[in-house]
Amino acid sequence: MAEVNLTVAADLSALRKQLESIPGLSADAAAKMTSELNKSIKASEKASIAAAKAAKAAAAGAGREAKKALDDASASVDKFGQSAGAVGSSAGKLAGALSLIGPGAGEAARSVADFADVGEVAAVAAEALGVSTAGLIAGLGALAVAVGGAYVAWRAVNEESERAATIAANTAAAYEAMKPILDATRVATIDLAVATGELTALEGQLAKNRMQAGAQFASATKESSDKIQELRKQQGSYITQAVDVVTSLQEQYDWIGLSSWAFDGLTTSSAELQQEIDGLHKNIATTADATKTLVERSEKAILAQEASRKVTKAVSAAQKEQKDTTLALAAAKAREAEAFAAKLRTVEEASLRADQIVKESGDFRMSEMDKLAEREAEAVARYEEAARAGAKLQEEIEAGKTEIARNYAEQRGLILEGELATAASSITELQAQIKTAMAEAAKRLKEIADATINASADLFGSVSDLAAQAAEKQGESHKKAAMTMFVVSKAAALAQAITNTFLAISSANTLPPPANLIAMAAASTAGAAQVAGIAASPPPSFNDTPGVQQMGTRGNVSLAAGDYFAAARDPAELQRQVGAGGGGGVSILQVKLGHRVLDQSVARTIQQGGRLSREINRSNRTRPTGHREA
Amino acid sequence: MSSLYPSQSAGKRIYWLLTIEWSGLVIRLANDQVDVESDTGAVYQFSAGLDDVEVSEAIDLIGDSAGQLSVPLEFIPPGDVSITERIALGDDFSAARGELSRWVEGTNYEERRVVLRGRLTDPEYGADGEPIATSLEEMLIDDQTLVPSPFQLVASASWFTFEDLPSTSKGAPYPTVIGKPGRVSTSISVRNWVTGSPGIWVYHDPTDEGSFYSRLILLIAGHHVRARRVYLNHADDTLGKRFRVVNGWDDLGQPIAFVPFYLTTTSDQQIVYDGTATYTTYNATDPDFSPAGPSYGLGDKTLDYDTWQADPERQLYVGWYDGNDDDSATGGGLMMEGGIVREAGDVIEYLLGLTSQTVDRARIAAAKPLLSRFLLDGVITDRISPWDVLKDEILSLLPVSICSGPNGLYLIVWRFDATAADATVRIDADANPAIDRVDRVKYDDSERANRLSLSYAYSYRTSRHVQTLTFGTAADKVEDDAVVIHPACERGRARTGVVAERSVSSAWVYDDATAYAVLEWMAAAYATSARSVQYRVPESEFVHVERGMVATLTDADLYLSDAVSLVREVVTDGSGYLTLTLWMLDNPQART
Repeated sequence: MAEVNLTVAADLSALRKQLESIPGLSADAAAKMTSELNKSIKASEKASIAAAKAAKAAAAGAGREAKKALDDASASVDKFGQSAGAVGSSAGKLAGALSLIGPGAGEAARSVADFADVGEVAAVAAEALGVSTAGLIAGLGALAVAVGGAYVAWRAVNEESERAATIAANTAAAYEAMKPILDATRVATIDLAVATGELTALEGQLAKNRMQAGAQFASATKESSDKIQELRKQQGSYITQAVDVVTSLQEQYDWIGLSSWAFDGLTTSSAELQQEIDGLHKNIATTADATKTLVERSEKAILAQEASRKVTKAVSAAQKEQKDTTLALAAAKAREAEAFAAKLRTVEEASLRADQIVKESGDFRMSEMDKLAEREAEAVARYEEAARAGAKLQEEIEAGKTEIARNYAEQRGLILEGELATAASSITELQAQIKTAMAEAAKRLKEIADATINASADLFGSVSDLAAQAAEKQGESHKKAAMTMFVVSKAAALAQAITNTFLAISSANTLPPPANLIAMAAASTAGAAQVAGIAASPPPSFNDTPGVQQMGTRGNVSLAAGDYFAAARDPAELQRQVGAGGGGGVSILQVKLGHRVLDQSVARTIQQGGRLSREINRSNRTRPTGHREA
Repeated sequence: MSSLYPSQSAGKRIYWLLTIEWSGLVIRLANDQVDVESDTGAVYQFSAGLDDVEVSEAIDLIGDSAGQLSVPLEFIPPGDVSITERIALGDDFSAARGELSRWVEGTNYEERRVVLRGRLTDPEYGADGEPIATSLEEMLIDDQTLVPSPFQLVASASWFTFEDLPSTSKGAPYPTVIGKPGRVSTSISVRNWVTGSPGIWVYHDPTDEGSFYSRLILLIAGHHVRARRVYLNHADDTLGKRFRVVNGWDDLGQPIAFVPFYLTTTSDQQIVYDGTATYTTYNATDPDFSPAGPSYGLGDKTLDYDTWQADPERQLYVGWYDGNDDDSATGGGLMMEGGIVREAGDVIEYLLGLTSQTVDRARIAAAKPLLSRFLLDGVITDRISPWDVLKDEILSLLPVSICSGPNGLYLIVWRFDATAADATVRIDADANPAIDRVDRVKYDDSERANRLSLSYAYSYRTSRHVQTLTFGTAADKVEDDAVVIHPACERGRARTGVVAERSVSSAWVYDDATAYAVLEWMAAAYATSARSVQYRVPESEFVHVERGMVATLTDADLYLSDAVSLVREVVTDGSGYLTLTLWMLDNPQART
């Protein structure tokens, strides 16, 4: 028997290169991963060597040594099967992982896994092929050739020893008996690996599938294996040996050829049996290929299914997340809309309230205005009554003047007639009477004027106060309305100031009689005429640009310091504008402004584009003047 | 204006003359019977019948227009004219026009000083022989002119492409571009421009001609412009690109400026695509501008089609900068007399010229040099009264007032930097016994401000001002390092201790120097309290005095010697005296 040395090796350089090419995976890490694989492969090598030794020992075929060798072989087969399974598992896991980051690396690793899977399948089928055959297949490649030689050697020896055949049969039977235990052990091992996390559930399932495929493979090829055994028995039978001898002799000795047909028809030579065995091996190999392909497809399908499941799960998770997000957004929108609606309600309520306040203040203002207008009308009526009284007094004065003139003429005649002293006394008395009457008239006129001034001041003061009050109310809710009321307030304040400037100044009667009396009477008349003239003139504008306002009426008016006029900025200017300062006498300047006049004044001010108008425009502008709205 | 001088009027009587033109009738009235001879030898007879008149020519404040002058009149028509009868027959006296003037006896009619021309308003009349009361009112505010004209807008008559145009273009008025709106310094924008005006699509039918798109025309001005290149951008490409500008005409023959789809063409067709011509739409180193950079036509295919060309609703904006390092002689919008309208005097004259009012161009020309440091850049994109633009946008920036004189509207420039050497009026109460102070000196704090801000460089696209300049004090600068310390603000703050702010924003200032100039005069005018005083002076010696003139004031009673003042108001009351209101300047150079 020849000595057999076995070496198991796999070219891991390609895998290592692929690993090193993966970004982020260092050369050391790649080396470690391939080293781990190498260890598994070396374990396979040891198992194969043990199997070969067992075969050798079996070939030696002696008593306890043979039994021990068979036991060792059995243990080796089992050990090999585990090793091959470990290799396959490690490489398979590695392949799965590497496929995610590098298809090339995955393929390289997967070829190693295939290598191991074949060994495992072979181990499972050992009962059919014999121990040494398991070692043969486990070695693969060069190993297979070497073990094949060992098998031939074993068979040669076996043919010489019937006992050896019996041992082989017993070994096979022993393995058959062990098989359920081995299967159960492997299943338990896989479950343990899954439970401890060494394998994923999917990997465990795949490993089990592979076991099942191996069993199916064994089952499918059992008939062929049995047949092979049968054929091998026939090869070892004497008849076959005899046929071989005859065949050999036929080739050497031609004379026997005449009767060789009888052997050909009844028996078969060992070579022909070998052909049948080879054919059966081929069937087994084909079945093995088919099984492998089936297993691969099955695993791919499972992996694809798993991937699909993961994708479906991911999609489902994404859909859920999207749904959650959409719901959250919808809820936020709903909250926003609710808040906006609440704001709108608040704004609407505020707007309604503001409108109400504006309306109330407007109504209040107008009602008060009407009341004040009535009071004003009453004041005017009182004034007119006083004016009529003044006119009556004037008539009396005129009558007095006429009487004076008549008396004067009479006195002059009396003087001429020598009664001068008596006449002079009468004249002096008359003058005193007239002077008293004039003083009373002036006093009454002043009272009337004061009453009118007070009434007007009250009027404008009230208007101003009311306007300010209304403006304050409206200002709380409506800026524009407040601006308008501000204008009214301003105008009313101005009007009040005008009213306050009304002064009646009585100049000293410096002229000798009767010229002083005539001058006083003329001054009173002029004063009354001026009141009428100014009251009838167009209302002043409150455009605050001087030059717009012109005060054309002149009169004998002077003003107290601190008062001012709408167009004039100070008393002196007003005094100059109205031509005050010259001559003496009494003069009354009165301007009456009703709310209609104020409204007109404000409207005109805005129409004329004064500063008030510009300020309103400026505050309302949303873009530069001249720029078109986008 | 007046050709009356003291030498002419000294010792002579001065009359009021009122000439009324009404439905072909000319009524001449004076405050006394007088015959006035004209240069041609014709003699005009003025009837006595005009009551005394008082006119106050005043301006409230600077940076504004004068209020509408209105003079109340009362007169008795000559006996041969029955106004009452004519009104009864249907004539409307409120349609009458009048002229009020001052005339010095012995001078010709043409030498009278016209105080006011306008219409007669609010007439009151009675029977023949009764006086007529009315007001002579200038017509400044009655201007109802709108610009641009009703034809200068995108309409079917002006554009054959009208039917296919987007709604944003239809009916859009042509922009009026004045100066260089959007042109700013690098301190505001490193690109030297922001958006200053809009573009309007007037031809939008992008047609692929292989290497470019044709039929794209963007109108950028309703007049010819000086710019040959402008920058355009939009909301998705705010960096923008430089494009060619072409001066052309619309279908009504109105001048326009537009950006075409091409950069160069061999065709003489400016707007319509010419299939026989050669076009280019891009030049990476446009040689006419320094530094040379890329220029485009709107049809260039390197532009992002979706954002630049595809969408007719897409609003494009214009920055009026041509890319030249020195663009002092290039670029810009509206042209007048060979140059662009940009200096404030030119801008005001142009806008006033758009109104229906007569413009006193001679007086405006005299005021222009005083306003040359203010460069105004802006755009009018809406139909609006030019008077409104002046009031709202222009006058508030400048130390000027617009007044209505006998020869039309004119400018008064308030010279806050004046010195005694600039004075044309000398008021010496010590030397001239006819000059009297009317009242006491008054302070007016109502307009005071010692922290002044101007927001300018208005971005048309974003509708906001990009830059703000602030003049203030050292204390202000501690809070805001961008504040420019100004002596007038320091002086004003030191006197009162009160922080008084005044903020102005403008869409018509893009130039840094102009922004400084605006705040400079505002600081001089507003930072310290204004003092004013009134003097009564003989009309015969001061008949030439007008608002805005620089005067020196000497009055030992007030310890003043040649103090520099501005004449703020002139009141003529027919008494032989004028009342002048003087605004006393508070700047150091005005002190003596």
